[in-house]
Amino acid sequence: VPRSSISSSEAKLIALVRNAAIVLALVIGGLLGLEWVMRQQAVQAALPQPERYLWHADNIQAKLDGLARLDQARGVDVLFLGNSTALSGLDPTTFDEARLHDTGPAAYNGALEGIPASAARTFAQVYTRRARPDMIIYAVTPQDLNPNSPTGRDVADRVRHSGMVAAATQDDAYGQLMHWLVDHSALFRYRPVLHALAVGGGQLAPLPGIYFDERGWVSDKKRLSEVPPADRARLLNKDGVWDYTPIGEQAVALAGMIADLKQQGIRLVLVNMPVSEGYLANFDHPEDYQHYLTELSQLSKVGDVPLWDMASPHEDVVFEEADFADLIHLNRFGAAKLSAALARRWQALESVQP
Amino acid sequence: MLFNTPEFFAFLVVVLGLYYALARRWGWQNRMLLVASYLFYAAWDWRFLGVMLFITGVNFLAGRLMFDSEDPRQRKRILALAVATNLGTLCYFKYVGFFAESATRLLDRLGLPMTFPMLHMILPLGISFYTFHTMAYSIDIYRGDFKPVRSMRDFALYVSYFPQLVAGPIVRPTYLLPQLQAPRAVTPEKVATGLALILIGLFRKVVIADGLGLRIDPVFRSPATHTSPELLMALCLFALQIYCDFAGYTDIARGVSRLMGIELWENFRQPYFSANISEFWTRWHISLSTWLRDYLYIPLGGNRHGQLRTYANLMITMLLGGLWHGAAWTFVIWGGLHGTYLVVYHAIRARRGLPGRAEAAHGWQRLAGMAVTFPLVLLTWVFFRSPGLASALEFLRQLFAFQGMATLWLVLPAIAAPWLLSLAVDVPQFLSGEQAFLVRWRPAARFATAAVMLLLVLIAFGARAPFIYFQF
Repeated sequence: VPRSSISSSEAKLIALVRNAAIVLALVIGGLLGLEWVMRQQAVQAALPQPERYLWHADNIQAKLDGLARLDQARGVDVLFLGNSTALSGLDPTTFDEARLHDTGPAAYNGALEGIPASAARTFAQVYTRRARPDMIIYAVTPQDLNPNSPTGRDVADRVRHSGMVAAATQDDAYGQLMHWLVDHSALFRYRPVLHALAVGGGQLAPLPGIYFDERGWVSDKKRLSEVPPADRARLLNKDGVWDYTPIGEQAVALAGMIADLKQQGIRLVLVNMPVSEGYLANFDHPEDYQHYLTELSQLSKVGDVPLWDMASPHEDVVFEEADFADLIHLNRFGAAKLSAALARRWQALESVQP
Repeated sequence: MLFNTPEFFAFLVVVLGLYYALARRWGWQNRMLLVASYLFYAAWDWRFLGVMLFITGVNFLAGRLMFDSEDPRQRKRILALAVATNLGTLCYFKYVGFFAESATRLLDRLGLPMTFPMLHMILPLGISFYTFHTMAYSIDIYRGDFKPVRSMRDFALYVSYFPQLVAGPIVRPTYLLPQLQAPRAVTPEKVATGLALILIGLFRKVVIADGLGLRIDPVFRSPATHTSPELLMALCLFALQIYCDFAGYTDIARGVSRLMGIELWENFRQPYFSANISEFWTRWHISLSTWLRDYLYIPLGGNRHGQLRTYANLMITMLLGGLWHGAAWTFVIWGGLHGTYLVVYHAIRARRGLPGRAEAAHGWQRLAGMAVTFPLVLLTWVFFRSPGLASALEFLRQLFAFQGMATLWLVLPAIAAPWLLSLAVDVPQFLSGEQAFLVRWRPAARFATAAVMLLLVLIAFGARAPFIYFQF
């Protein structure tokens, strides 16, 4: 029986190492050659701008561009942040109209689908390095704080490993390397485009359309009240609250976001987003939602940031089934109600600011 | 921890370093591999380790008890318990929600509205694969084909061995366990072919499969809003994507394992070069098709009880094979279509008085066979990929509406380019019969090809798309 060891004939081993070295040398030569090619103005002019291909999702660059345009035109004083519930539930235009900001600094919806608190913290840094809002309104749902959500973990993982995110936010060695590569290597920037061209036979696949408006908001027309009771079960989505706990890395990330923004002098408001009655059926244990509220409230107290609980009944706003598109996303009617209600709270907060 | 991430390669370097350092002590190598495999699994979700440990313990114990028992009835009872535990665990996590939802809808349509508790389980990674590993172990011992292992360590490693843990190949205990219970030789040849397999796997996964999603996903999401050529493009590209994704995973798994001197089964042998549907199933997901043959089709009676029983057995096997892929009617239909193809194929052969097993086709016969087989397989992918039955039917309706055919030439480059990239690997593999074909080439061609492939992998690296078969 041969011994478990790598020691075969020494000559073969040397040949293996030599062959690997030749391949690596060829690869390095190829990389340098391609870098030279990609630096040529004519080549870059013939290719689409690479930024949209570099983030963890296709529409991030469009969000950033929208923010930059609005900031340049009017200035951005309020930035909404959150996941898809914030994307469809917070309408900046209605918010501005309700607070009588028809001109001057405006609100922008920077929400991104699927991002848990850790990714929201990251994108708060990305956004605030491009614009300087006075306030960030972070719309929170139970799944944002759940470290066990598979989708949340997947998105957080993708964000964490996005070279652009690292380049834009991290000051460590990896972030600096990414920053250097983005700044100095045309091949690094253009490689997703080159890959897409290679597998597309010289054609680029159309990227998903930009489905949010110029203020970053998605208008959803669906109504939960029109979904027949027999089909309601299909709206349940346990993924975000699976094995629910509001304690762990996401809660730590939210505390970190509070600290980051405080350090930057940007005010933060937490909003507990409204949910439909049926949403609570997602939880294994009904008391988990209460645990989430307690943790969110605790984070707000410890971090000394306001918490507007819009899921609780209020005198000025009541959410009905007709205001929801599904169990957790507000439709445009619900978004109008919520945005106006938030504007009133914003005004109240502004009036007591020193 | 996906195979196509820097984290995995960092993990692999550490594991290989320890493995080679323990070169003369295979028992310690096994201990180290077991810990590494559990860490690999825990990196995804440590809580599901409990499920795997439970399955491991039950089957280890069942194996010992069956072997020690002289009473055939008791042996049968133990086997039944082990199989029920495996299937019960698989069903609990994978199928309960599906059957509850199906029953709710059926009763609703019959005017008997009733709500079952809706269970939306998170599927433990690799459960479909490792439960099949353990079932094969228990059944082989029951049949007397295999003696139970004495060491819990070696059996636990057989179940959890990280290269094959999450998406196979489903390696039989008779093949893998003897390798785990003896010293392994790691030769320069094995290292060279292992590295070649990893490179080929990364090329398939990172360069080809991961680059196709942008063209496929929007079309399958809303088939009604696309023209027939766009649907044809998405379908052809999905056929390639799923092949490159899964075959790429297998190549990497086999390559990584070979670096440790452990051989895993071949899982794909250029399936789209098949001359008929029967040959397709000897080339596609070989470890699953042979598992279903040996543990389901043959025990059902195989082809031993007349033609009708044979056809019924084929259909049952393929329907369950479809359901194995996912808890949805689309997968059942996918399996049913393949079952129908196989029944029709065998019926034609029987009518012509030909033997059950086809001769290997060559030359124009193979090309003609491919021209028939590939479109048939292509059609089944509509059901496999579509998010639901209605969506699949809409896809087919739109595809055969032949709308916008004037734009067909516009999508041809997008179809041809990735297929040509894949053929650049598949043709040499098919002609040489060697998956790690690079090592057989002359040095200049070998170095240049390896360098170009590695360069393309580096350019495409970073998309971090998960392997499609992880979800099964």
